[in-house]
Amino acid sequence: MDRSQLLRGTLEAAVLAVVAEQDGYGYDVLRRLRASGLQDVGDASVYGTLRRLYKGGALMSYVMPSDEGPHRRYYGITDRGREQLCDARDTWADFNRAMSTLLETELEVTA
Amino acid sequence: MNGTTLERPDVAAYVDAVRSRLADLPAEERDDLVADVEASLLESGETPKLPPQEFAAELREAAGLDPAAPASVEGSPLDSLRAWVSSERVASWRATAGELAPIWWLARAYVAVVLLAVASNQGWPIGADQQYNEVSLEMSVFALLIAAGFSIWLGLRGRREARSHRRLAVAANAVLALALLPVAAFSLAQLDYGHLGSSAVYVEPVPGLVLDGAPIRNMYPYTRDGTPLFDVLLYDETGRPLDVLTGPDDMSRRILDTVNGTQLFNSFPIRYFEAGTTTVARPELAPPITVPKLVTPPLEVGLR
Repeated sequence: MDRSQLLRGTLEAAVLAVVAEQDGYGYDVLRRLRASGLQDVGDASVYGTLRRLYKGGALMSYVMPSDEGPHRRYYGITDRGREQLCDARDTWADFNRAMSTLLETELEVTA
Repeated sequence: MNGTTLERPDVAAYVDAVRSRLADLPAEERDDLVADVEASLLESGETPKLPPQEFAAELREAAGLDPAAPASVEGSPLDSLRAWVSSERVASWRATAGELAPIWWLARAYVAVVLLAVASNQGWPIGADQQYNEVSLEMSVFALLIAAGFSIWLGLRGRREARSHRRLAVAANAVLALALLPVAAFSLAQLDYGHLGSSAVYVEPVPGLVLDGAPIRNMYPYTRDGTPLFDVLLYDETGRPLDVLTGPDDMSRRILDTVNGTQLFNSFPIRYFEAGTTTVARPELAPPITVPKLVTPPLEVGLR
């Protein structure tokens, strides 16, 4: 199964979940996604998704100075983002249930 | 690892290449996207494995932006210009220019200081146009150091932060760049004129014999045992008679003549007649000296 295709459809929910847990800036969000097991998530996809969610009103942003480099743009979740995350959880639960049923049935047949 | 693009020219080049691929976006949108990318790359300490154009394409797609329009062959001149600005060649030039930017920061500091000094009638180096003040190289160097520090600070700030006054910065840099050649020519001309060669103002040469800048009025030769000598003829290393230039108009001076009647002005010490007479009242007069104890070196020193 092509993980990149799976990621493409679920990255938005994953980013919302990470930011809902704690505000974060681009590289911080990327690092936390990878630490959660999404090792192959792409930098550009994460930064672009953050930007799209921000423009869509699901995230808000603020800039914090950094002693060691450029200012960091932090993202935090908004009420709209929380609703979107709730919807995504429901959708994923349904999808997961359906897929699990399908794949487990297939396994039993094969066995 | 954190840092700045000044410390990581590879990141600066990568970010510039990505920015060029987003050239069609509104400036604010592009700057926000690129600022996130730049900060993240600097913190991660590595550039992405994707080539800049693929990175930019992925960024666009994830951000829900339209893919970059392919360069139109029959587009307007403005389209052609945009395509050229977005090209990899220009991105490469911009990356190189970014690496060389610190040199420009120093050059613009010099140009700004010279322009300010000339505009305030100080001239360059500072004080060159002031009739009664000396040229102050120290002041000039100090002004340059201050300006260089400020210029570098501005440059680093521009790289580190969002370009809030980008247009103003571009305009100021353009003015200084235009002034660069005239200022360089002016500085070279000043160098030829001698302002930069020495910290001293031009001093009219003092005629005659001079010691530490003060004219010598007389000279008193002595033998090694302290006996004063009189009417000694003195010459320089080329055989020219030494002359303290009191001149023939000094009527009280006792002047030696040759048998041909030629006056000699290089006989020392000069002795003077008493006023209204032709008599030297104290011909043996000489300044008191302390005779040093001498050790006579051999005239030929052999190596053994």
